[in-house]
Amino acid sequence: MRAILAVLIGKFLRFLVRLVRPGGGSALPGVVANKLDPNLLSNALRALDHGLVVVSGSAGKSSTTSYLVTLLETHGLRVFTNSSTANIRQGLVASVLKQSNWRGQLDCDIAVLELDEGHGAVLARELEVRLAVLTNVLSDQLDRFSDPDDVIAMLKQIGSAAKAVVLNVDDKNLAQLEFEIPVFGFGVSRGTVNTPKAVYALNFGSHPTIPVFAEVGHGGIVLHSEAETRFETTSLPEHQALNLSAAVAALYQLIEPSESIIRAVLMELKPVFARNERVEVAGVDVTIRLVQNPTSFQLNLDELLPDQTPLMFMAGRDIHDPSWLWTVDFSRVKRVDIVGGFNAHELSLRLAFAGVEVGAVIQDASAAADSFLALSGTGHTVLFSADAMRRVRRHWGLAK
Amino acid sequence: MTRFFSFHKEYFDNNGDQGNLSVLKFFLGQQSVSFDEVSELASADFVLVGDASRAALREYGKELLDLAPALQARHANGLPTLVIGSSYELLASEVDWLETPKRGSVVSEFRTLVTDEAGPVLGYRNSSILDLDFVRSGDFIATTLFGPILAKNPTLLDQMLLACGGTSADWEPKMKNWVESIRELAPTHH
Repeated sequence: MRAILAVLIGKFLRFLVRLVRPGGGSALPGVVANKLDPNLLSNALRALDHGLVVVSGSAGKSSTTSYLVTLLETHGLRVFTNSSTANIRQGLVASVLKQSNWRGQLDCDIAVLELDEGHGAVLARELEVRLAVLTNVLSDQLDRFSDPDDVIAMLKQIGSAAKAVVLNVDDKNLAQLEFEIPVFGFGVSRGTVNTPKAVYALNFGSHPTIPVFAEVGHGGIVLHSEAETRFETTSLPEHQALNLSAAVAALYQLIEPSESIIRAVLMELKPVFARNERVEVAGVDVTIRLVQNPTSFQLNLDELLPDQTPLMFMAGRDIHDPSWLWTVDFSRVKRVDIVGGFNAHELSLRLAFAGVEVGAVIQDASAAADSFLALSGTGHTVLFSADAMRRVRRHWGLAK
Repeated sequence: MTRFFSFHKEYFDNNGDQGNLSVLKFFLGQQSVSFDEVSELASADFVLVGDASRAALREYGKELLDLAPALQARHANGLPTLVIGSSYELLASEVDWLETPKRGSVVSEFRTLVTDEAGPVLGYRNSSILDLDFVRSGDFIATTLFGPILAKNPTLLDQMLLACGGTSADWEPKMKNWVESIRELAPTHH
């Protein structure tokens, strides 16, 4: 009865919110439904035949989740998942409200959820986790987590709550974690240095050797099980190939997959939401790239091509402490045509001291987006933080 | 020529503290004052010890404490020095020439501190220190405010430039406007 009341009120609130704010997200329905029935989420997930997979870590959560969902769906499973903007409790409950029936039941076989590191450590204790996928530990969100040591402890909690763990063996911070459950590794083959590598949080300790189950290298992914199996992939930057190897490693722990299906999927991968995604807005082709921390900003900058102009960089309200912008190397950039978002002045100052020419500075995300589309050029490219991305996508009518 | 020393700059840059060197170099360069790195603290005119992760402090904390006598001498003589964030916290907990701050839970926020010599000083902090966010002896500064504080605090920057053999910063108007906009957004903390 409690669940029914929570779902009905939650779904009604969701309907009202979307009337007021079409395409926009809101935490309110999830907050209210969770208050009315704190077990709504765990009960909905517990009923799934193939259980719950959680994906957590500093970066790569969304891509890994997206790849794993695609792989599972192509194998015929009905997958419940969440968007990257709904990876804390109220967002997850809101996702249940969106997809469940009036009793809070999901018509799915398995759940693959991206979990924020901090919230995930708490949630994992109350959810029955079949498999945890741990991507990496970066020096990220220090205003929230204080120190990478705290993130490592949170990921340890998430992994310990699961029946098995898939983790990035290249990241010493994860390789050092000791679990009393089966551990399956993924990583980059030694000697593969095609694209810039992720920079994991500082760790001066030893690097334990963990057997690699799925390995990125030489245009594909190699599985090391009883026999060695090689899958070719579409061309991917190394950090995305790493996320894909995590998804493939996870897939093998969940089902007995078909090699032919995996081969077909890996050769037709589409860009993940806002990761070098190409969209058309008012007749203008725009490439959009989400940057969330020093590492992702740097990786995206390093992938920029000289003809990708005009450029717009945006730093939104989600960057609580913009100091980390000063750890990004902007030396490859000559000019940024528009700097936008709530923290536009912080970003502009950083760029100016790095010797980058700054065109217009427009704090309002919508106004910045409009001015950007009006610029001439054929390589319109935006790098933005999550808050600025949400505002621009909504303004451009791209919100889901 | 002005010489600077930065303690393990590759690791003690948790929140962009090394950006302070970029800012000094930017303006000193405009003033034709060279700003060159040296590997020994003893031969430096300006010293930066940035904020570091716990992993970096576990690795290099002892080495930092070994520099305490040299830093004490700079403190006593008011020589231009920035000791920031967790490095300040470590030193303050171990030496008697820096007053021991009171501790509480970690508070992460922007703060504008009202100081005697540099007026309001703005920066972000992520610290368990309850008081003593900004300790100054001449041009020796120990603070919880990490990141590029010289970029956002023109008065403090001018004082450091003078201490480094330069003159007051000649800001481009648009850059000055950005700094003023940043400062207007920050709350004041007494």
